[in-house]
Amino acid sequence: MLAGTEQTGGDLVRLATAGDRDAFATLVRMNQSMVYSLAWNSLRDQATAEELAQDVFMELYKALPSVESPAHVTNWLRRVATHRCIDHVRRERSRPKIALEDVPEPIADESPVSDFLMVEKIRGMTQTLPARARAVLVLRYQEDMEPTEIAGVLGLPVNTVKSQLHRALGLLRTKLQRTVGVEK
Amino acid sequence: MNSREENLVRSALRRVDPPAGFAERVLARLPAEKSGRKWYAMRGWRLALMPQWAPAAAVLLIAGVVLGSWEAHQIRERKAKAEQAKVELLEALQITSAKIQYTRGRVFRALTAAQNKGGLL
Repeated sequence: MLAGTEQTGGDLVRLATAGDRDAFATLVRMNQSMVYSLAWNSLRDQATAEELAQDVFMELYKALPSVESPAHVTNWLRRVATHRCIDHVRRERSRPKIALEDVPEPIADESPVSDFLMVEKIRGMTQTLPARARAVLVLRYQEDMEPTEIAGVLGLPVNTVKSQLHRALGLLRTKLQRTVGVEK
Repeated sequence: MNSREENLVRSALRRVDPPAGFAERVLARLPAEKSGRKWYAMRGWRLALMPQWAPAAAVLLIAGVVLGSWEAHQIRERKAKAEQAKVELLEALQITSAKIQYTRGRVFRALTAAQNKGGLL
């Protein structure tokens, strides 16, 4: 692929499928933030997240003949990355080192906690959620996906996605209110 | 959740960039072989990725094979016809020869009869 050459997304996928490494690199760069973030937000371990994200792109390379457009590539990556994250979390039986309900609660004081600290707390709390609920939460808030879209990615009924999301958010809210005194 | 809490969750789970050099590390893991894709595994538009001269070469090859076999067939047909003509000519010569022999015999017998009667010669 020549640098600066005008080409459509379809061309990019065709070139990558034909073995053009530059075209494949472009596809990687277009999606690396999404894939890495799905792994990072699910696992919170930089090395593991990078390894998982790389594995997902290697899978994409093998599956290129079955994809047709960059949009298809993105959907494919989102689906595969999410499932790999769920599998990884489930495999790592050390996952619920501490159940959400067991997270020690600091005594809430009257002083408002900065958003930065709350964000950090939320990040920690999401790691205590079950694998699928965590994936639903990440897809909803990282990828801004609607429950119907999440249901498509995870192959679940929409109502199941909604209930998982509702439950996950409820747990987070309760925890937040207890720990940092977020106003209702 | 109220909108502030939702925004906090959104911030907590926002996209982040992978460590620098991520794409290069992915590319480094690709198989050394450029494509690894076999022509017989190609379908549909992937066939278009073959060299542009490949279809023309295939057409020429097929045309050559067809013309060659047609020419060979023509030669075989001409040889068969020539063989047939040869056989027919030999048959005709044999018949002619037989008829000449027969006629000669009759003439000879007629001459002998006339001679015996003492007249003609």
